[in-house]
Amino acid sequence: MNRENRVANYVLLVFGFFSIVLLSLPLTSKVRAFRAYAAYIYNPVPYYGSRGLLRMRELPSEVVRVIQADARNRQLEEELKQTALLRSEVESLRRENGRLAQALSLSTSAPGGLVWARVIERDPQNWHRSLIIDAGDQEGVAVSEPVLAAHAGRLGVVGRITEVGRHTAKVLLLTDDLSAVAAYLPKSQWEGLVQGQGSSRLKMNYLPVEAQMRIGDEVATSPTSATFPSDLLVGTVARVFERDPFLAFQTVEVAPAVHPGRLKEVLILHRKRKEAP
Amino acid sequence: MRAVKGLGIFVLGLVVEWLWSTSWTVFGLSPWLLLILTIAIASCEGPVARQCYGFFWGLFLDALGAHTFGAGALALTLVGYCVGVLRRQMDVSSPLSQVMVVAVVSLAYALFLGLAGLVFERRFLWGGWPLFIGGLLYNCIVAPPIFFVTRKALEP
Repeated sequence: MNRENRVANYVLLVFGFFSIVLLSLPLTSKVRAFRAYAAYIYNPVPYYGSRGLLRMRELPSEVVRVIQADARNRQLEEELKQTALLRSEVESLRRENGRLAQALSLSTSAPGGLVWARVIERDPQNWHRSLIIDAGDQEGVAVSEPVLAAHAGRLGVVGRITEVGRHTAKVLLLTDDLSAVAAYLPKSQWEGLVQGQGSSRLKMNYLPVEAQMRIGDEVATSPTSATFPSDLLVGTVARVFERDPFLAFQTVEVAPAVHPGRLKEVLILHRKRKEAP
Repeated sequence: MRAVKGLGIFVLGLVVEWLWSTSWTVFGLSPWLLLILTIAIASCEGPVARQCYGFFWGLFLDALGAHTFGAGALALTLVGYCVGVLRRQMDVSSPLSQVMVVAVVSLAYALFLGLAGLVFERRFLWGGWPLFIGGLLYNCIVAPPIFFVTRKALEP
């Protein structure tokens, strides 16, 4: 018997003895510790193996997602280029407007920035009165700032800020009976005052008796509004009341452009008032 | 270099065993890869190395299982030892002889694990005839390619 075979016999004895100890005394602390140690040594194989396998399986979908993201990125870059062009045009028009207003000694108002906020709470008793948003003093929101929301690709009037907290603010909705905004009918240029009624509809008062309106006509904020920028959508004419011979004006009912019950996000417009010299 | 190669084969054996038994099963069956690898290595490696491979691969099987911790290590150590001792008396160079050796050793291995359960856990550890016969056939089918790959890998 050569030396290597003798060593092999010893190895067999050692491994055999060790295995029998493991088999015979499975509940002793030393065998349990060894078992835990073996699991600690061997467990990375299934653990990292399964993670690697998962990565391999997800690879095709990941590649598809990267390709789709790249295509979307290119599309957005194109859109961004067009937006940049539009922005420069808007900036140029704004400067021109400022110069003309200055020449005519008119006061101008320039938007000071926008803040998007999420609606986090509504008045539980009446959804048409007020709501709470998740932007406040820390985000630059101030009292009386106009609150807007996107509706069918256009900005519609929601209301105005009445209370400001650290990270929250209360919005008084246009449908509340304390709200009012100067508005006009862009089609006929007649001006009036839109007032809330505490319900889902608004009323537009003080329209001249000779004004002609139809159901579906748009109502927008007037350039004379102290709070809102002009030409923001307020709503559409929903009902034309019969003329009262004892009143010097007529009234229409307006369906608001942005329904308070559907609001998820709103836009707060910071306004810096710049008085022309 | 030889040790690094040996360690590589050892780890590769663990990974392929895990992969085959979890992801590449056919009708829920997978070959007893570490047993076949131990036989293949025992037919061409030295006596100490073949027992080391058998013992540590067996510990891996024991660590994955819930019964008779140590039985797999003892079984594969014995397989490594016995095949190494008997390799001078038998020819394992042709695919047919490899299939026969794997079939006989698989039978003995299954019997040994069952008996270990009977001795140490008071019940014969048995997975049922379909699993046993299916595993045995699967072992015989994959044995020649595994022998071929193992011998190629161990060539100096």
